Amino acid sequence: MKSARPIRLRQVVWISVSLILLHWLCAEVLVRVPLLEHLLSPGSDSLDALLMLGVFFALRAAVFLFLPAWIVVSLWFWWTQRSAPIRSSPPHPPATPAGRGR
Amino acid sequence: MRCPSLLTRPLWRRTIAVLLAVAVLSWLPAWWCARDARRWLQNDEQYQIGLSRDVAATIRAGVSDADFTNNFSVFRSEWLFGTYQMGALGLLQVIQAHPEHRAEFMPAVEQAIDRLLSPQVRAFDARLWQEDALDSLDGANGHAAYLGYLNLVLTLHRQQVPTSRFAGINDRISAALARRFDTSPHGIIETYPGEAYPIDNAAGVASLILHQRLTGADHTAAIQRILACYRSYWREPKSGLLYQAIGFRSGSPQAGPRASGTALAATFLACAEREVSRQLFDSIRGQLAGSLLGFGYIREYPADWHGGGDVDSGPVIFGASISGTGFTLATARRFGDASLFSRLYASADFVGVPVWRGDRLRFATGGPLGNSILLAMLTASPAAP
Repeated sequence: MKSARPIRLRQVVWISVSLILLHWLCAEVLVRVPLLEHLLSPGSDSLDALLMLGVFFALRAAVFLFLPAWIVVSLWFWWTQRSAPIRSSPPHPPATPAGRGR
Repeated sequence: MRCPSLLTRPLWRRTIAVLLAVAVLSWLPAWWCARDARRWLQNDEQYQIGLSRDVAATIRAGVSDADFTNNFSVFRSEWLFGTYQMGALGLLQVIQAHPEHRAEFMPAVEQAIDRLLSPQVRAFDARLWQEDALDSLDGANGHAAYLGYLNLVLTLHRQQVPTSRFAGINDRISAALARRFDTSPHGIIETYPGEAYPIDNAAGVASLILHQRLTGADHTAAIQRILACYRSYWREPKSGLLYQAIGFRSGSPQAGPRASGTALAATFLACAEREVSRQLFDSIRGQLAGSLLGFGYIREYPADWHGGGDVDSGPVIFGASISGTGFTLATARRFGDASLFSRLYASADFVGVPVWRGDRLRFATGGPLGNSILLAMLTASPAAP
């Protein structure tokens, strides 16, 4: 059976910070591009704007809805993994003296 | 710190992880998005002034119908009109809450009114009626939307500036509206030829109530007639919501009950009176308010009624109405329903994306109209006594 990859705290922090920064950057771009009009009342040239809004809201949902839960769950797994008793490793085979056993 | 060994067992780890995810998902995002709701409810100066500065800058710079996206020029022009009307309404409310900012914002209010009165902005109404609304005040045609929304702003401006340079036109529009309400076959007056909407009439009747209170002019007969319609004939009996459209000649409903019309009508009426607007708000809250993961929304249609979105409601997403939700922010504020306001604000914050730029606050997805509407809704004063 494939074993779960260990949770790395640095990875959690990197992903979180990257998503938050990307979201902030997109919001800054959106401030300059009024898009609600397209959402409320689309015209024939609204497709690009609606696609942009769709991508942005997917990112916003990821950051606001799922990221906090993912961070908490990752921290939980990291903590319980860190606290789990260290399994003793299987005994090593006796070292073969050099030059013998060939 | 080490955790108890029991919790490191796979079954416990995964069960607790799921519980943690559900707990965080159902509480944290909505709490985060609603964290500014209390500031708006308490007329926080930083927030109200921040958004006012952005809207005032938009009014000063001016907007044109090229700033809007709809294929139909009449809707683009209505949105241009709405940007100035809602902007002026919001700024007047902010001046009322923070009189020390009057000198900063009153010029923008008056600039917005000048633009509302300009031939360019009123051209959409003139095109459809084949006559100008202000040049035909002695006539019989309704012009309910243009005159009603404009007159509400003119009267609220006059409340704060007794020597208003718009007093003359305010008196003339009020007299014309009162006469048209009086002589209309079924109380309602038309927005455009053959189209009559209770929402547009709500702005007009609210302006008449305020005008009567302010100047002593007697519009009692017209006001009582129209308020009686809002109490009964224009409301769907089961839900208590306003029909979206009423036949001018027949007086019968032409479109079903909806949130977008009812919520904005309640918001306008609450500027001037408490009884009917409260009934409408109670119907919206009782029939249409919902919540998902703490994010509040208002459904566009009551149970038993179905339909899609349009220019009034915006897109209807799983039944939720963007306009209805936004407009109900104002009535929740006006009637002091902090809980509903907070839930709806969480959604407005999530969809609107508020961004600070220096001392200005702007909702990133809002554009000129969205920010003007949100200013008017988020700063709505308590309902009239």
